[in-house]
Amino acid sequence: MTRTRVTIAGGVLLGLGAVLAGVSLARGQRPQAPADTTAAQVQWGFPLPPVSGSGYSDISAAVPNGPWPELPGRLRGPEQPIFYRHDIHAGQYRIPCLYCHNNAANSFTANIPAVSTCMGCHQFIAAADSLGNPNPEIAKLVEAWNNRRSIEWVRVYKISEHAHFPHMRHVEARIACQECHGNVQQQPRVFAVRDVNNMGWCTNCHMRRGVTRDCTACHY
Amino acid sequence: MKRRKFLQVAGVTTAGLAAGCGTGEGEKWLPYLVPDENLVPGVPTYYASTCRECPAGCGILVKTREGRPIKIEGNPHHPVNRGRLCARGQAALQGLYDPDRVSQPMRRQGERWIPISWDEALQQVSQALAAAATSGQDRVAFIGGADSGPTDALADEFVRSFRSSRRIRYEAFAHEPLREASRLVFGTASIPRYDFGAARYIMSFGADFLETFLSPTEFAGGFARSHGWHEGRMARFVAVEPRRGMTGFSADEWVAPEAGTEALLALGIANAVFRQGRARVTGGDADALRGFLARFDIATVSRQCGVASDTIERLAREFTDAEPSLAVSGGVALQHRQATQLNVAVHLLNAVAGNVGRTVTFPGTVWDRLGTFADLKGLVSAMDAGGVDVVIVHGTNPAFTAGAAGFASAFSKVQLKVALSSAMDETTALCDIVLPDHHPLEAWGLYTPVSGVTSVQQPASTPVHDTRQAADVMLQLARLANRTIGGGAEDAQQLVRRALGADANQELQRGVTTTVAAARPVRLSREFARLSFGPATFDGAETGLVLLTVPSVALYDGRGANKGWLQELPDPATKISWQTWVEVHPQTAAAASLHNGDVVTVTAGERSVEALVYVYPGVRPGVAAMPIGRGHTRYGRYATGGSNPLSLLGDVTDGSGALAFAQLRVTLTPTGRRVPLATTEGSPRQHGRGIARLAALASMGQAHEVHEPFTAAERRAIARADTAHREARYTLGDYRGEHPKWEMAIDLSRCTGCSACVTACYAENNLPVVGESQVQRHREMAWIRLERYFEGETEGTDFQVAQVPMLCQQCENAPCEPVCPVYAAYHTPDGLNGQIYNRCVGTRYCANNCPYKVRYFNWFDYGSPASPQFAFPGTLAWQLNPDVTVRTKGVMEKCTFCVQRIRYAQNEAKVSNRALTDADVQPACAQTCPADAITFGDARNPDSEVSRRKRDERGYHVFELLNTKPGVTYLTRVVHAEMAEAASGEGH
Repeated sequence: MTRTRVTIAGGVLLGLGAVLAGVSLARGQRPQAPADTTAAQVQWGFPLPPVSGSGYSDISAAVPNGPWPELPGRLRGPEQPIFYRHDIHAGQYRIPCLYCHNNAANSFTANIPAVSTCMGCHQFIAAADSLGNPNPEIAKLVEAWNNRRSIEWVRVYKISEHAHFPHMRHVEARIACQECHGNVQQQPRVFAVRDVNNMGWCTNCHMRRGVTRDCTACHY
Repeated sequence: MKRRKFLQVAGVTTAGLAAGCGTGEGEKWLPYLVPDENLVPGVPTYYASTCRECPAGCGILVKTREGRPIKIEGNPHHPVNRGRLCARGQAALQGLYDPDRVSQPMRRQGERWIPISWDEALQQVSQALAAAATSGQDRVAFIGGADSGPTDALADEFVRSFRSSRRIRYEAFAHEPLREASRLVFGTASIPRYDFGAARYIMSFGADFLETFLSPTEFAGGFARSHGWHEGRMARFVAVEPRRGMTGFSADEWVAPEAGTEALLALGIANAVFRQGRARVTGGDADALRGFLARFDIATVSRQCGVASDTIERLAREFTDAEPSLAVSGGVALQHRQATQLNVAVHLLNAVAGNVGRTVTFPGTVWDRLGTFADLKGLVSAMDAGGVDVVIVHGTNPAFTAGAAGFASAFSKVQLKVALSSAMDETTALCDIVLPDHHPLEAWGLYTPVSGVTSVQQPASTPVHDTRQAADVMLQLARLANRTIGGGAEDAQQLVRRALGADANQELQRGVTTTVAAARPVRLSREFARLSFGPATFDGAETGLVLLTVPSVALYDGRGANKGWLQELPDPATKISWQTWVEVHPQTAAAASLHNGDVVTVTAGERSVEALVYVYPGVRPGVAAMPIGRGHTRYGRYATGGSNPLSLLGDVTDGSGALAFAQLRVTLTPTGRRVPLATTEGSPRQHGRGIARLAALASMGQAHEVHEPFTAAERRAIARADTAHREARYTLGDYRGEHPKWEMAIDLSRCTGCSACVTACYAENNLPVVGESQVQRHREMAWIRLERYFEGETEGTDFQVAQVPMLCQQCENAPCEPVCPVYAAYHTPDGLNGQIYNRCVGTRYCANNCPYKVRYFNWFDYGSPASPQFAFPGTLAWQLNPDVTVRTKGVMEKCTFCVQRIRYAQNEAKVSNRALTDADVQPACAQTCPADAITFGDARNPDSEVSRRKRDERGYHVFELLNTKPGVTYLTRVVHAEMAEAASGEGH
């Protein structure tokens, strides 16, 4: 009885091996990890070539203190309570992602910056744009801050609750935020560039880089 | 919900209630206004505090995520519990998040409760207090529980400021007889502190020191140190009690005297010690004691107790041979009319054996200042006579526990009754105004369970509801009535910080201050000699069964009953949850043709309650035992099942003024109904399967025949298959790399069966509470359970009880894995049986194939708020561990050695660029085990503690014959008894 079970166990697992062999990309040899992105690229957060298309601004000519990038013809993603433009903050002014989303480096969760983080700059960058026109969006922020009220941002990305994604491990491994979140620095309004719950996307990257594919790395 | 709270809790992550591929569409993120420096979303913050679930005062570390407490663990710096915690301590969270908590001040109008504002309520109460103080002395009363430190002093001051001295620290289990006995024997009215760790021989006269007696977590640690087998030595433990409960299960010998004669037996043993010339007292004390003890002639005692004189002589010899030894008494179950005498006798036994000052010391404890049942009765008669205008009740429920004193009827005569309580329990329901109190996890305090140990209590959470701490309410009431108390302190926080002094923040971080307090030396007093010693009497017909009301390891005196985890925790002795049973001996049951689950009426005089029969060899014939704690009429949705045996009791006290919990003889009358027991017990016997093994001490160290289940050819075939198996795995994923191999070792010589691990697992892994009807169908979800088996002939007292925590064995050769059609059950590279909930389609093949029966199926949608079986109603969902998926209907789940903790520690180690060590990871069960029976770690490291224990000569695997290669190694329990050969099955 016991012996039979052992044989069965071995047999089924061999079968499983064969099944997975079909989808495994480079079995037998360690796949090459992509060439390391340079430190500067990670810091500025532009590891990927610029994209053009619906929902993206062109920031190739944008310089700090210059005119704002032009809005694309169509905005994608959910409307937010404040029209916060990543293409200005992260694109034109090149504020690193981790300046605001700092917990991505030390926690599973990448935080939405606290209102005080916004006010850190916008104490000085007042509710008016560079040409002196009143900026209603910054005014909303100041109004929320003055009234000690939080801002109800609309969530764009959500990993399913049965999967646990440690942001800090990926930051530590110098995976650029854009690898998963796309060229946010070109998005005036952030939209989901992909379904982050498509597990194939996760495992493909893990296989390419030769890191764990164990189910309980994420699912528990 | 207040806005501030909303911001805090809504924070940045949500504990997943509905597992599914949600895209998060439409969900809102609410960032903090200003980030809290102590709070990183996704990273737990710990606060040191003190557990207030019983007076023991264990130190705790409260794990909070995004501002919500989600788990409680022991504080390793704390001298009482050394980082461990019992089931009740683990379940304190469910008190904090009780869905039936009183969430705002209310005023009673007939049977209805009307919400009122704090201002209005405080005004009304302070006016009544001032009026009562004006009308005379002692017209205000305050009934609280055990307390110490500045909040305790404040309550005294508060009552005094309204010209009253009526303040009672009422605990149902105050152990007054033990304190009184200390006064009579040693001249100090104090509860002793026991050092179980030093004792080489332990004799317990009905003290359930591993369950509810004084400080069970502390005692369990000491007991495991002394009684756990270690390099050929272990203390011997003799349980002397008419009912053998969980504590008695660890006993090497059970002596069951006639109920009520335990004092005589102890005196008989002490007399034998003198007659054998082994007494360690000298001078005048020796002469006085010899003369006194000579009254307890061994032959007479033997006849009265029903214990052979040989046994008495032998116990005397053994007790004094071992040095030091320890005798304990004072358990609630044996608190009968002769309880003071029993405790006196046991004190004398310790004195003649020379244990006083060694294993028994008198440093002064928090119990020393508790009121007695007689004090409560005094207040009851004052209330009855209309002598009290305002009564404030805080943190205690005398309407449930002190029915015998006639509390409820007298209480209702008081003009204004105020409850400072966060639960709508029986006492609160009688009150006129409820000013909801903070849960201890929201409150400030300093607690000194034993002199020299000051344990800090600080909020781990902002208040869940619109509640205020009792001390704050007292300060506010006094202020409204133009009185200054607490030295003009603003609030409890200020009181505590003031008491802590300049180093307050360091103290708060560490959680406890320990100073060496010299134990008070004691000398023998002669006062005890005036007591009259005889068998305790019990009311009722001689033919009736002596009723023992037994405190419950889960529910304590009933205060645990509003917590689903504790209600569902199977009683360690009977394995029954949710119900109230009555234990009867098999002979008694056979004579009355009673069977398990028969509903009987337990009648004592005019009073009766219903209970389910449980036929149990651990009670003497002629004795019936019922658990205390169930049968609430109020106290929330989880509390109201079962019945309350305390309601049978009359106003009978012993010499110390304590309620005689054992005072009755009862008759059991079948009602003709039978209800399936909500039990997790399969068979009470092992049938030679060798699941929980025992070995005799005498056989240890000798070469014994190693049983090899396989032939040489079979072994070769298995090795070949294993290699092929491993090679096959190497083609997948990253099985080939260097991985730890997580394993566990459980030392059954240390395990006491206390079940703290079970509740810790509920808390850590979001296990649903399924309720009585599902447990009756054996659909409980506890990933770890305690199996209890009787070994040997259970007709008499000469049997052993084998207990084993059973959890997923993480088999290397797991039968569950190959049968899963969707690879939801699979083997991880680090040696776990992974269970991937989102892959599982619920075929249940794995559970069918599991020989250990440790896989649990979600028959209902326990995690969905829309489901009628939703297991986390109201704020209970706030407790959910965000690191663990809440499983959906149709999914199989099981223990994975707390894989979320392993992964978390691995991530932390990687990010901080250091190697992972065993100290970084502990599953919830191992972390909390009061006896330190569970070791967890990397078995690939030969120097790890788990590898060391694995190599122990006592190590075995359950069902080795199946070649499952479990990752859990059990270490055989060593017993002193000679019977062990029959008990240790070898698996067939």
